[in-house]
Amino acid sequence: MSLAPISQKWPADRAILFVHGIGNAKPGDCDALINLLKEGLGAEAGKYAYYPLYYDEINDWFKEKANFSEAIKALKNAIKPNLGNDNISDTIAEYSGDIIWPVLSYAAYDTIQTFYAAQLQRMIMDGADSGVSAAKQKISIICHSMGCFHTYEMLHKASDNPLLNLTPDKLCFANVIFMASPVQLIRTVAQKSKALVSDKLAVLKSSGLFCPSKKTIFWKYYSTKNWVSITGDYDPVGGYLMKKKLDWAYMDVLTQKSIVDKQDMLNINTAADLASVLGQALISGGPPNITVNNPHSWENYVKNHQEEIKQWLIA
Amino acid sequence: MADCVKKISLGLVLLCLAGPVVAGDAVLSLPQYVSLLGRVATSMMAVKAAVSLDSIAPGLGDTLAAEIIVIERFANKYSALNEFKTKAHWAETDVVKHDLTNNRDLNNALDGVMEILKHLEGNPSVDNSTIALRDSLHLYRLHYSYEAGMKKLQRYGKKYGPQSARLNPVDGMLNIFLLQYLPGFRPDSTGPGPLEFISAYSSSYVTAYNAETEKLFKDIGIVSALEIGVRYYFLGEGWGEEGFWKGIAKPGFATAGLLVTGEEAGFFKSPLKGKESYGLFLSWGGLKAGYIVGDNSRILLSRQFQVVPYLF
Repeated sequence: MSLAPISQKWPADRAILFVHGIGNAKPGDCDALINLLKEGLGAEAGKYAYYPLYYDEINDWFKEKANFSEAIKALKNAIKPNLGNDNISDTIAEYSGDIIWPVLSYAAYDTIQTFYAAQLQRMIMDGADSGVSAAKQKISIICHSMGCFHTYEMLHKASDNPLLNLTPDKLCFANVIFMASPVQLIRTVAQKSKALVSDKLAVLKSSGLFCPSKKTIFWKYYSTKNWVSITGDYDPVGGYLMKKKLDWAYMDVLTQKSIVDKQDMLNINTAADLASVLGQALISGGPPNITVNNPHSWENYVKNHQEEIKQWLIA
Repeated sequence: MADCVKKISLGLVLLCLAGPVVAGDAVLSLPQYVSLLGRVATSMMAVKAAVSLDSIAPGLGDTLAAEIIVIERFANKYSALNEFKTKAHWAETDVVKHDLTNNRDLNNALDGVMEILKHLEGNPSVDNSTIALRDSLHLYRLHYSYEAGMKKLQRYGKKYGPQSARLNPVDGMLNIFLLQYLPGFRPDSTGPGPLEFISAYSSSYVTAYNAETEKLFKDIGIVSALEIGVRYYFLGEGWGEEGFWKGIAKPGFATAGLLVTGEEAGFFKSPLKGKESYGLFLSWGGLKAGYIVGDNSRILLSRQFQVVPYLF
C-alpha cells in the first residue's frame, strides 16, 4: 500500500496542511500552489513545514474496485449511444466519483478521514521530533473545494473521537482557511437524500454547521482560533451564482471570518479593458484576446489573498 | 511558608516525572509503560496533596482521585501482564496498545490528568516539567493512535485497494452503497467489515468427468458458471501479502456460495441455458473449487482472474 502520510522535519514551530479538491490530484500537484504561498510569505516562508494531503488515491481505489468507469460508460451508452469518445466516461468517473464516494459510501469516507487523521498525527509527531513541544506547535490548514468538506468532517471527527488524540484541547489549529467551500451545499443535498447518506456525516448534525469545541473542567477549546471562509461571487461551489448568494449553498458558520471576492467572468470589465484588448488585436493582426476566468481556481484565491494569509499565518 | 514548600515539592515531583520521559520517543516497552503509569499515579497523588485543587474548581480533588484510581488500575493490570510475560517469555504489548487506543476510561483519566497539569502550567516552580510531562503523555498516546490508524488504513487497503478482488459494476454499487449498512459488511471503528457479496460469471472452470455417462463433455473441459456468494476478507496482519506461497498459506480472502452451470459446457457459455445444474463453490485466495450435485455431479477447479477486465 503506497498510501502513507508525509513526514518531514520542521524548520520552526509551524506547519501548513494543504487539502485539495476534486480532480486527479497526484503527489506534486500542490507544488505550484505552495510556491505561490511561499512567494506571499516572503522571508517568513522558510519557517513553515508544508504538507500536501494527497488523498485522491483512495477515491481511485473505490473507482477501480467497483469498476465505476465501466458503470458510467454503460450509463452513458444507455442514455445516448453516440455521445462521443469513451475518455469522457473516465473524466466523469474521476470527477463525480470524488464527490460520490466520500458522501455516499461510508467506507470511502472513513478511509479518507483515517488517512487525514494519520497525517495530522504525523505532523504533531514530526513537530515534536524537531524539538517543538505539542503545546507550542502552530498548525494551519488551507483547503479548497471538496477538501473543505473533508476538513470540516475531520475537525468534527477529531473533536468527537477522543481516541484520535486530536481533540481541540490537544490540537487547536492556528488557522483553518476554507476556499470555495461546498460544505453547506453538501449539507443541503445530503439532507434531501438521507436514505442514501450515512448519518455519521458531521454536515448532517441537526445543530447546523459550526466550529467544533471541547469543554473541559477549566476551559472551552475550539478547533481553531481563526476560521476563515473565502469564496467568489461567481463561484457556485462556494455558494454564489452570478453574483447572487445562495443561502442553501453558502457555508455560514457563526464564528467564521467571511470573505467574498468580487469576480469577473471575462478579462474585459471596463471600457479601458475593451480598448486595450481591441488595440492589441489591431497591433497583432489577430483576433481579440478575450479569456474566461475560472472563478473556482485555488491558485487565484491564494494569489488574491496573499497578504491576508500571510498576516493570519504569522500571527 | 507552607505554600512555598508545597510548590517546591510539587515542582520536584513533576521534575522527577518528566525526566525519564523524552518527548518524541515513539515506542515504550511494556515495563516502561508500567513504570510510566505508576509514576503518573504516584505523582498525581503528590499533586493532590500539595495543591488545594478544590479552590481551583469545586470537586476537582475528587475528580483527580477518581482518575488516579483508574490509572492505578491499568498500571496494576500491565504490571501483572509484565509479570506473566517474564515468566512465560511471551511478549504482549498489544493489550497496552488496545487500551490506549480503545479504552475510554483510561483515555479519559489521562485526559483529566493532562488538563490539570495544563492548568498548573502557570506555576513558576513547575512550568517546564509540567509541559514536558503533558507532552510526553500526549505523544505516546498519539503514537498509538497513529499506529492504530495506519492499521485501519491497511485493512481498508486489503478490501478496497489495488490488490483487492475486483467487482463488476452491479456488485460494486450494491456492496459500496447498499450493503454498507448491514453487520459484517459495514465498517466499524477498526476498519471495513470483512464481508462482500458477489454475483459473478466465471468462464474459467476446468472439470474432468466420466465420458461414458456424460453426453456433452469429453474427459476434461471448460465450464462456464454463475457464482452467487459471499467473500470474506482476512483483514488481520500477515494475511493477503504478495507472493505465491504467502498467497496460498494466508490469502487476502476466501469465498463461498452457490454455483450454477448450464447444460452446454465450454468457454463463454450461458449457465442459465438449458437444464441448469447446481452446486457449491469455495475459493481460498485465487484458488477455486466447486462441486455440482445431481445426475451430472462433478468437481470443478478454477483460478480467480477476470477474463474480461472489469466484468467477468
